[in-house]
Amino acid sequence: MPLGVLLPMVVLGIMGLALLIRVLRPTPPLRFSSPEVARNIWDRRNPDDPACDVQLDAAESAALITTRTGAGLLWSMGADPVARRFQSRCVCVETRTGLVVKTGDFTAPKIRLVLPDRDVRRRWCQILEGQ
Amino acid sequence: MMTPHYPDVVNMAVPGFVALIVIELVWIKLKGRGGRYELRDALTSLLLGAGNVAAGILLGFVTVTFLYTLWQYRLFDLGYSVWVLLLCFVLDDLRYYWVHRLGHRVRWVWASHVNHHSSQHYNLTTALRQTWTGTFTLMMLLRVPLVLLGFHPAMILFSGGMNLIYQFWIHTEVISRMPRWFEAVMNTPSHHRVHHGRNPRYLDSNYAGVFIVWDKLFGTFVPEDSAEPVEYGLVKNLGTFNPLRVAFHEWIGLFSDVLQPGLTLRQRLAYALAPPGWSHDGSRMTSDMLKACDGSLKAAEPQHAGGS
Repeated sequence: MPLGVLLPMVVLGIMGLALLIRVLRPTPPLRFSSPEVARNIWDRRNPDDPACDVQLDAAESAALITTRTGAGLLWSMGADPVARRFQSRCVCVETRTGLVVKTGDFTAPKIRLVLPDRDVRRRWCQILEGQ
Repeated sequence: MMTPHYPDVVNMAVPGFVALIVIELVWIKLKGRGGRYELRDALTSLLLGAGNVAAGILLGFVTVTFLYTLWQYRLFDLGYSVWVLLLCFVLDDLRYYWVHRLGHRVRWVWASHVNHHSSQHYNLTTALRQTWTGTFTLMMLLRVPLVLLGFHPAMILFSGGMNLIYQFWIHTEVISRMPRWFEAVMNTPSHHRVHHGRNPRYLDSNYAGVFIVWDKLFGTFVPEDSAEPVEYGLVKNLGTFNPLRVAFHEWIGLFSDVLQPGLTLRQRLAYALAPPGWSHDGSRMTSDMLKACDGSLKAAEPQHAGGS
């Protein structure tokens, strides 16, 4: 197939579909409605290291999980959860609304947390950077 | 004998892919069931599909040159009849089964295939989440027997394209089950949902492209169990929608493992060629370990132990 046909077809196809998905919004973003919801998701993903303590961020889109072996984060990637136990040291950067956690993990490089309360922000930071 | 012209069916099918995605999307919105769509996830899938087309344009010549060079050394010339084409399609599907199985059992090949499994969604855009690095896996070698047997390279590539097109429609939750006779012979949305599952019991199963009979023949078939809904994605899901990170993350992981200091040559080779999850110090889990672990956990539950 000539590139002059293929290229516009692919570009227009992607743009059209993206627009349609944006308009229809078929699946809402994931929110952890309670610590128990977050705990269940974490435990299902980490049956060998269940959650001992769960704290949600203000947007209910992330949770700080404390386990017997350390700490991890559970957060929403659009409509789905992602969980990580951090093996290497994280770096937390404070923003006006919360924290940006730089993980050093190529597959999950940056996590944004909504933590308006400065004390809570510092506590999360200590736990995450203390790994 | 003149070589007939085989069209570039995959690129020709692009408008059909787009139309079917629109239909699925509208169906899900109207019915409120049959799958989920998320903008960034779908966009990642579509961009990976576009990247796959670009990779084909840039690197497709490697496979084509290899097959046409090999064609000079064919043992037979089977010609171009419809029956030969049908036989080629079936045998190429068998070839696909083994390429796909190796794609899950050898980390070097998994590094290329992993992005197809990296979405936590299962919809028609997931079908387009294709590799950019397939050429580097050298899986073209599995086409050698077909060429040497006398199937023309253009016919083999056409069969491969038709195989890929068939697999598009099975990436959906809109269709629950096909008629029983169809489910028995053909790969279907139900069978392929299992293949995309991250549940331990569903790992490393249903590798088929078109005919599910290969899985039944080689012992890798697992039926979809309504008691255990499929959770899609990877054992360790990605925390990024960046297509570059999705496309290359496993290659980066593989090379950083292979090149770490203090390993023997055997361990370095194992990081590249052993099943995904293998580690020299036992700190990670392969799918076999995950299945064994899951089996033990289930056995320990009272209902499985006969306690209730």
